[in-house]
Amino acid sequence: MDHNNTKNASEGIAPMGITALNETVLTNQPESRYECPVCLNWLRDPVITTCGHKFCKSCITSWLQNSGHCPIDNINLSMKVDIFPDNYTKREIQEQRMSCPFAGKGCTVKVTPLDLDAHISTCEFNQPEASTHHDVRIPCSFSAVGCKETFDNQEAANTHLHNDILSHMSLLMNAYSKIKIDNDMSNTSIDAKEQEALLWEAPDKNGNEASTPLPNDTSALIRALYERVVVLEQRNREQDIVIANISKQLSAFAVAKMKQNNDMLLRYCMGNYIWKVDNFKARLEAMLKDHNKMLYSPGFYTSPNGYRFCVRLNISPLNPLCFALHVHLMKTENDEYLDWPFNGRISFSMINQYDSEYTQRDTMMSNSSLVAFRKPTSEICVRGFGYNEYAEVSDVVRNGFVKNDVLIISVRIKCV
Amino acid sequence: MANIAAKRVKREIKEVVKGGEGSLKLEVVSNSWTDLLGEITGPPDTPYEGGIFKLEIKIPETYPFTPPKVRFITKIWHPNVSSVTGAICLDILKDQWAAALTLRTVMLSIQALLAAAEPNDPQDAVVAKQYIENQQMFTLTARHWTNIYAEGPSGVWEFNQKVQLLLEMGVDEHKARVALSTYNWDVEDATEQLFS
Repeated sequence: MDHNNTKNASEGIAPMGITALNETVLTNQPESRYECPVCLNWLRDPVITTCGHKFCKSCITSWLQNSGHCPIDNINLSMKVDIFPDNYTKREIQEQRMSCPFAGKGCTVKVTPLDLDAHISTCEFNQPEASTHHDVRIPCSFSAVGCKETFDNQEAANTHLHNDILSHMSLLMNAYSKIKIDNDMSNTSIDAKEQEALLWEAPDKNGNEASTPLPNDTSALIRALYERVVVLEQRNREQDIVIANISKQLSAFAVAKMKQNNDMLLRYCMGNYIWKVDNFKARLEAMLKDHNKMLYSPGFYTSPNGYRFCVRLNISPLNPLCFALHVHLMKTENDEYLDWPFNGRISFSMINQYDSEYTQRDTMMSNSSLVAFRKPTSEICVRGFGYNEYAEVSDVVRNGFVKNDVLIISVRIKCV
Repeated sequence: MANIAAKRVKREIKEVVKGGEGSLKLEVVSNSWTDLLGEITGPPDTPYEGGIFKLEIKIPETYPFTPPKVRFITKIWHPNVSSVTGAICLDILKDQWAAALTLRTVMLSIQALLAAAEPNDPQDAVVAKQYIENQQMFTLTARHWTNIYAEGPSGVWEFNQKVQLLLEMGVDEHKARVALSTYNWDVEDATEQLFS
């Protein structure tokens, strides 16, 4: 048999790892007198039979479980009477010392043959050495950029390199653009804080441009853009704050303005005040439930520096079916300079919002003898002047005086 | 695969490689050491001389406490080998297996079986009958099969012609050969059997 051919054939079929293991295992080949004929390995706990054959204790035990004969000469054997420990051979084997098969790589360990396999499996020099094995195919030198070709020998690899320049060029191009993109990406996204620090370099004191040279144009462009972004973001933030402040002021101003408007209306209405009682139904119900509840209008002026009145609407204490309507003098800052008691004409008009013909109009003259027209001593004069029974509640509710839940009472007060 | 079996098979392959018998080859065909491919050459001075016979060897989990399963892949005309399945009738592959036997000794035993058939313990009754009744016809048939299936050097011209005859009648080549071999190369008998 052609020895070389066999070897090639065998190793060609066996996968790399197994062949490598094979070699190391086979280096631990016992002499025949120390070899178990069953496992073909070093005798472990050797026993000897009455027919003079040696086996590992476990091997002969396993064998005799299914057979009553010696594995070598077929002589009848009984586990109980024909098997004896062979301590002589055991000692001989234990006195043997074998070098690790990786001694060539630097392992200095020497162990008994029985321990060698265990050592080999844990030996730190037991690293697969791909390049020494002829099964390993030579990868294309462009494998790093994605060429998957492998070759039996260097010559084939060279041919491939020569013939596939174009595909290698395109692989290189792809790899290059990928690297470039990755690089650019990393400058913007990966670690934003860090990159910020990297990119945002304040101009140095001499006003020179940033000092670190940049890898390429794209980086420079990105850096310039980034700086611009930072500036704009800062400006944006400042303006946000300004806008927030202004809108706050504006709304405060609007509130003040509204209040002022109301005050103006009240002050400059020249005694013609139109009282719109909104949410009337609910207010009425509250008043019907509790007759002490009263509705007061805001105070209005007969002239900008004149008398100030308010209107009171409530359920008449004399007749719970009727509304009472009165005017009350209120304190003003100008009371000192006005003539007291008040003298004038007071007109009430309860507006019929569906048909003005039915608007209820009443006019009264002040009575200077009444407390109600004297200079008020409290914010609102406790005494009012008007009608205890001004209008029937049912009439007000039903006959067109309330529209959209609003009752409108026009008051005209004219000094005489 | 049991550790002891795998280790032993590794050693045994080495034993065959190192043994230096040019007549034996042993290769692994699976990663797990359970499937091997053996190759033996036909022994000299037999009808199998010059032939290369492939063997399928399967290593059981319990090896070496149970025998390996071996059969011929190459078709062979032999009383102790099935001409259909390649199954081998050999005592050491059955009840006479001993743990001390190895793949090398098994292959050597099979080689020896080719040199010394046991027609009284046949695997293929047709072949055994021919072996006993017409030794000369058996020898020629076995040589013909060796030539056709095992790259044997010497063919039998007359047999080739007869196979060709049946081939032209539309019979499958191997079926034709089996029929002719079975009927001692009597074309009429073979044809009758094939077309009945």
